[in-house]
Amino acid sequence: MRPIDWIVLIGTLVAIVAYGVWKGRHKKNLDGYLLAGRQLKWPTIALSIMATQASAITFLSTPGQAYADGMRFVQFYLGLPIAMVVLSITAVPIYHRLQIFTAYEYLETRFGVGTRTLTSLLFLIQRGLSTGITLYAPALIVSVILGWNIHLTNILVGLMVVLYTASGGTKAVSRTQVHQLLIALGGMAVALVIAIHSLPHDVTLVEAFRVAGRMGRLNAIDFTFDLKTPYNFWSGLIGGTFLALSYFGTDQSQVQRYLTGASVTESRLGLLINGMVKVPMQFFILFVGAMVFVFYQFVAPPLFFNTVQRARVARSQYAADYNRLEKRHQQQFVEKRADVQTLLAAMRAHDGARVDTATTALRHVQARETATRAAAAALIGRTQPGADNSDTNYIFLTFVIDFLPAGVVGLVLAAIFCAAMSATSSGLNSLASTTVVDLFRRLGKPHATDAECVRLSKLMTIAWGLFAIGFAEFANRLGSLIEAVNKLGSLFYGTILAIFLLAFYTKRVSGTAAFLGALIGEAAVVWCAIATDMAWLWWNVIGCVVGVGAALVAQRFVAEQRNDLRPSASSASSADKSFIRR
Amino acid sequence: MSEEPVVGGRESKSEPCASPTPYPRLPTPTTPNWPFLYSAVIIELAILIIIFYAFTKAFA
Repeated sequence: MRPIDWIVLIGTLVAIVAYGVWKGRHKKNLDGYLLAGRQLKWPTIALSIMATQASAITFLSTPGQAYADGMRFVQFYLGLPIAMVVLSITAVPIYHRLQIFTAYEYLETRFGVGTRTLTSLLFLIQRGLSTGITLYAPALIVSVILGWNIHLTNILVGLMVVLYTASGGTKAVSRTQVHQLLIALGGMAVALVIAIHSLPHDVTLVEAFRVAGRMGRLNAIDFTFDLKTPYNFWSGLIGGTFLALSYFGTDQSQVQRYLTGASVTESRLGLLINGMVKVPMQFFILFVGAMVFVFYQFVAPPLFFNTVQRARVARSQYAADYNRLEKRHQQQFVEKRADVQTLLAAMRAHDGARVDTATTALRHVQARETATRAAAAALIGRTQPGADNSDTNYIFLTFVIDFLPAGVVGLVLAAIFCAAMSATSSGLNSLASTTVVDLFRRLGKPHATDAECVRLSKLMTIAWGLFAIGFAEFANRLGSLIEAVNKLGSLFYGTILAIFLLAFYTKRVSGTAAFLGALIGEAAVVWCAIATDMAWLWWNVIGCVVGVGAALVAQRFVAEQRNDLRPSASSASSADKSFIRR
Repeated sequence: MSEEPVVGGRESKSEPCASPTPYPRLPTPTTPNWPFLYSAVIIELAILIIIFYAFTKAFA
């Protein structure tokens, strides 16, 4: 890190925090603090929704995912636009009509306080842990690559987020997210331009595409149906729709973003713009990773990108074995670079037969290189049993630090920290809202004043911030972080979605049946996660289908009690508000 | 699909005034054509899938 990088990084972060604190001042009532006075317009809502989902993990781990596994991860997002349309039609008008603070308040109008509390608790567990991972990810990666103290980085970033989130509430979160997302995308765009520019001068962009494609890195769409493959068209479209419906429709960290809309129109437009922009945005981030992969076909990459683990194995009894693997890896790189040149020459000569021969040779050496990298990872696993032996998260930042010019490194780091802060702030904001509205004010002190609730919301933001920082200190050995955070969510999202679908679309299912259905759905998801090889995107489908099915069956056996019968929200009028006990 | 009433009359239709008022008349915002927008999102997704598939095949 050169002085100009420090200036760019610190200047950006200080400006963002100061802007957040300034934008969020003068919030005295709960509506202003938790929902920005319900005055935001669709551009702010759309960017805020995108920034909430796009954490630092997105910008660090996703390019590494493309480097290691190709672009097929983009299929994970294919269900998102469908979910945005469904939610715009169904959930948004209901949430707006009821003038609720949290999504879980709505459940009480339909199923009673038990289901509301259960869903709130599931959310608090899942989001509390995810926020810890969101905070931990950039701290871990930056500490490894730049040698910063991970604990200090964690605490500093965490405290910066807590400062403006606690003081300014939702308005500060949403306003800063607009700038944070733009900075993050700007940083990625600069990285992409430099990655392409750093390719050998005789390699054109189309040739770079062809090399990446021939080496399996532009595999954006795969129509093969396989329940065990994590990313294919079907798991992305079906599993991804369920996941996105649950995440955007029932996860308070997202619902709170569009509850801030000045009208149904503003909220809907925010969601729909997200639906239109998100898939191309993820494609772009993955494409950065694919270009970094092409870059490393001409410049020797390290055998293992995690420098800390590399140093550890060099000091261990396996040092000689690792050195042997490094030498083998270097030989394979030289061989591979020669094969890439042969492939390029064949392409330029338009010689199809030679292209196929060169591709076969290239894939062969690539398979051997992958085996060498796997052997190195296994060696690292033996050096420190239980250590994270995946280096996917370190690939992109290694490229940034080693090859980007002064100033740009600071900008990309600022982009990563901005993304971390934006996702963390939404998480803390929603955790505080749910704790105060669904637990404290509903179960603890129903007649609490607005001032008391605002004060408690600020305290809860700080408390959840400290929890996230604390969890981040222990969150390691999670492999690819972007997978880890989505897997964690997928353990709960299907069940929560089942409860909301029952609330939206059934009139006769009672609170008791919904509650039982949720428990059975959650048990099914846990069983799939522990006892089967099913890819995690399908857990969302299982949780939802089993949850809804079990509730419908349970309804036949559970005696209806008059108190459980409440009017359906889909047919409810503004009188619904009287059922919500805040 | 019902829209919620808008507070403050920003989206409400005002009666035509016989005499000039001291307040400038706010332009009536156009209500989005929701079926068109929903279709646009889905069609864009379909186009993206086709482009991504072509991209995959073109460079594989």
